[in-house]
Amino acid sequence: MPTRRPGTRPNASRSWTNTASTRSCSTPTSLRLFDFCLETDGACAVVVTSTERARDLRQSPAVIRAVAQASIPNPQPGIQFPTLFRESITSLPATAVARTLYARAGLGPADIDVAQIYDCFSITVLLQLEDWGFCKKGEGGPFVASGEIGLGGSLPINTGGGHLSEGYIHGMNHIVEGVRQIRGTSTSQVAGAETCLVTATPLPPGSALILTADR
Amino acid sequence: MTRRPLPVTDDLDTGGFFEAVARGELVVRRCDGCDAVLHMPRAYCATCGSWEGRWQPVAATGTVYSWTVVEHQVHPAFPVPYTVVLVKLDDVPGTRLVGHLPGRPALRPGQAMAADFEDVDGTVLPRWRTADVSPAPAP
Repeated sequence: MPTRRPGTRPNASRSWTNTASTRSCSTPTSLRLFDFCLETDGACAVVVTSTERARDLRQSPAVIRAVAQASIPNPQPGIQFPTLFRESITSLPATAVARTLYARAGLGPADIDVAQIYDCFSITVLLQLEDWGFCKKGEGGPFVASGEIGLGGSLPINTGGGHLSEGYIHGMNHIVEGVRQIRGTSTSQVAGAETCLVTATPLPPGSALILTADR
Repeated sequence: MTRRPLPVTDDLDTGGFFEAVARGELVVRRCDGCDAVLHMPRAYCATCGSWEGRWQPVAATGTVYSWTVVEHQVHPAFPVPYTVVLVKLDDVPGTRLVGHLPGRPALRPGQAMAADFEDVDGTVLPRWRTADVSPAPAP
């Protein structure tokens, strides 16, 4: 989780394994303090307008290529309780959102230059990386450990620090950072980034969008 | 000693569950229209739109689907460590109930579980425990 943004939680961003030194909150999954997102008061603003109008504004636009939303199949009632009854406990609505979003965008995982992945918990990121097709099912852990999500990796993610390091603004800060990447103004800029996936696909329902440069 | 928080037992949707538990019985809600299991229990079936349903008695036995050990103290009535276990009901395998086990019991997926019933300050609740016998081998 690379981040150079001022004000972010440094320990959580330095390395995944650094969380091992913080106190344990649950076992045997070994979720530790820094595997949980920050509690944050904050706000973000996103201005949405036509591409034509956006071209006349001072900042270069990030274009919404496609959006999609979905829930888990046959969700039971309740807010978080249904997550305990989903068919597979290692899948998220991301599977269904990904199918629809990629189809609408005419893009696939290989076309994504940088991603902002909803990280209410670290485990949520691992499952989404699998559900979004960046690695095979069950290989999220090794994919992350190999450095692929760093700035030099195949899929840099959460370049603004995300919920784990920057603040829990319920996915809105992920959208803002996605726009920065497309504009080339991120503090952890991915060189030449032209497509950014922004997800909010934990449980029970979820949504996501793909931002692109104005080409 | 802090009192345990207790569930609302006279809710329109879920009251039947606690009525059964007070008799020493486990039940799940079934839709009369399409026979779907409605869990958590509620009056309306989102699958077929029916408002008619019934309470089906089920055996108070199941198997471990998953679990986690809570190490972070939240409520004083539930001292850590304790284990939250998801129990897959033997009679209705798609339905899972949540159990609370003190400490860090050694568990494994598929392990046999059984519930008995305890009176907590006048409210009867199912209490899951690991069954003493091994699960029967598949036929």
